[in-house]
Amino acid sequence: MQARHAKGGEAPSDDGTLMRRVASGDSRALELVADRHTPMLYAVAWRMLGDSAEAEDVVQEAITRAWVKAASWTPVGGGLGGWLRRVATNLCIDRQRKRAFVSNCEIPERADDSPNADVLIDERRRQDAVAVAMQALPDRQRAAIVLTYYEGVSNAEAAATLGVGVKALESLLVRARQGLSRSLMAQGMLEEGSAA
Amino acid sequence: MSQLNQFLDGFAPPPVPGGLAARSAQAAARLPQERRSLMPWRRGGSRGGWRHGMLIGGAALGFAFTSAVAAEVVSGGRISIPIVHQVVAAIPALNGTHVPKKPVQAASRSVRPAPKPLEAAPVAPTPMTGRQRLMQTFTEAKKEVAERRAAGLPTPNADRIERKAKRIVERREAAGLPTPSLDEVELRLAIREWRTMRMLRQVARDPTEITDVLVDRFSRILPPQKREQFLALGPDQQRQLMGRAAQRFLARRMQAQGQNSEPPQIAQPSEGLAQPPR
Repeated sequence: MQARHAKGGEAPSDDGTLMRRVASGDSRALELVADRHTPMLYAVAWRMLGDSAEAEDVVQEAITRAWVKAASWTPVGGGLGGWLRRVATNLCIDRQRKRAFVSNCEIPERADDSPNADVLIDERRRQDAVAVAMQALPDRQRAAIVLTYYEGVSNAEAAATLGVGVKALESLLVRARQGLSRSLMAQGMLEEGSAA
Repeated sequence: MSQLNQFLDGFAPPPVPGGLAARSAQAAARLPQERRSLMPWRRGGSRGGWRHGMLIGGAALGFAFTSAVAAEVVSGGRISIPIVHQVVAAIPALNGTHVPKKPVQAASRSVRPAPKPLEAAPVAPTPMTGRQRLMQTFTEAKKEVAERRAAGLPTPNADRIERKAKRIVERREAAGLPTPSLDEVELRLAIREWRTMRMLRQVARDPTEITDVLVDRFSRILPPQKREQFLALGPDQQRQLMGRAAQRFLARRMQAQGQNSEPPQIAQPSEGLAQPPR
C-alpha cells in the first residue's frame, strides 16, 4: 500500500514530514500528498456533489489549500487525511449552497445492447435512485452519511469535521437514514418496513 | 444488513480520473504559500481557539489592576477598591500625592458652621422571598408538631403527610430516580394540601361564586377516570357537583378530626403542616 504512494522510488514519509517539506516549498512532497489523498477526496466530493467535474474541482481546491496553508498546518485530530477531508467536506457544502439543486430523476436511460444490459440498467437505476436520494438530503445530513458510512470516520471525528457535537451528529445520521429511506420508497425502490 | 445499506453500498464513485492528483499538485504549486506567523494567536484546528491564554489573561489582569490603581489615586481616595486600596495605601509615593490640597480661604470670609452629620436611615429588613417564607412557616409548623407529639396530642395531618412523603422518597430511591430530601417532599405535600383545602373551603363557602379557575383546579385533584366524567359535564352541573363534593368532604374531615379529639377545624392551623404560608 505504501509502495503505491511512493513517487518515483522516493521513500514514503509520514504526514508531518511531508507537510514540513511542502511548507518549505517542495512541490514533489505535494505530489506525494496529492497521490495519497486524492482517491479519498474524490470519493467524498463525488458522493457529496454527485458530479464528477465538480468533485475534481473540489479535489484540486483541497490540494491547493494544503499547499497554501502548509506552514500553519498542525497535526491534530485525524492527521492530514482528516484535515483534507474536513476541507473537502466544507468546500462541498459551500458549493451545494451556491448552486440550485437539479434532480436527475428525469434523465432517460441510455439504450444498451451489451449482453447483460438488463442487469446493468437495473444497477444503474439503483445507483441513480440513491444519487437522487442523497442529493435530496440537507447538506449536513449528507455529509454525516458520507463521512461515517462511506469514509468510516468515527462519530467524534465526523462531528468535529462538521463543527457539531456527537449527539447532534447522531441525530443527523438518524434523520439522514430516514430521509434516504423515504426517498427510495417514494421512487419505488424500497418497500415500506424493509429499510430498518 | 438492511436493504437501505445494500442500496448505499451500491453507490460507488467512478474511478478517479487519471492524472488528477498530478494536475492538482502542479496547479497548486504555482500559487504562493502563506508564511507562518511567528506567534499565531489562534489555533489551527477547526474550532480555532485562542493560543497563549496565560499571556492574554495575565495582560488583561494587569491592565485591570493598573486601571483600578489609577482610578483610586486620581479619585483622591473617594473610590475604594478592596485589594487595590491596600496596595495603594502601602506605597507612600502614591499615598502622598493623591490627597487634594485645600484651597486657602480668605480671612474675612465668614466660616460656615459645619453641617450636622446625617443620621443613618433605619435599615429596612430585607424582604423574604416566597420560598424563604414557606420554609420559615414549615419550620415553625414542624416545631409545633414536635411539641404536640411531646405533649401526647394527636397530629393526624402531619402523620399522614410524613407517611406519604416517606413512601414517595422510598419509591423514587428504589427506582433510582433523583430524590429530594424528606423535608423537601413533606414541604411540597403540605403546600399542595393547603392549596387543596383552601380551594375546597372557597367552593363550600359559596357555590355560586365558583370561577373557571376553581373548576380547573378541582378537576386536577380528581383521579383520572372521575376527571374525565367531571369534564364531560356542563358548567352548571360541574359547579353543583363541586359544591356538594366540597361540603361532603369538609364535613367528613371535621367528623374525622372530632373523633381524633381535635378541635373541629379544617386543616388545623395549630397542627402546622396544612397552615397557609404567610
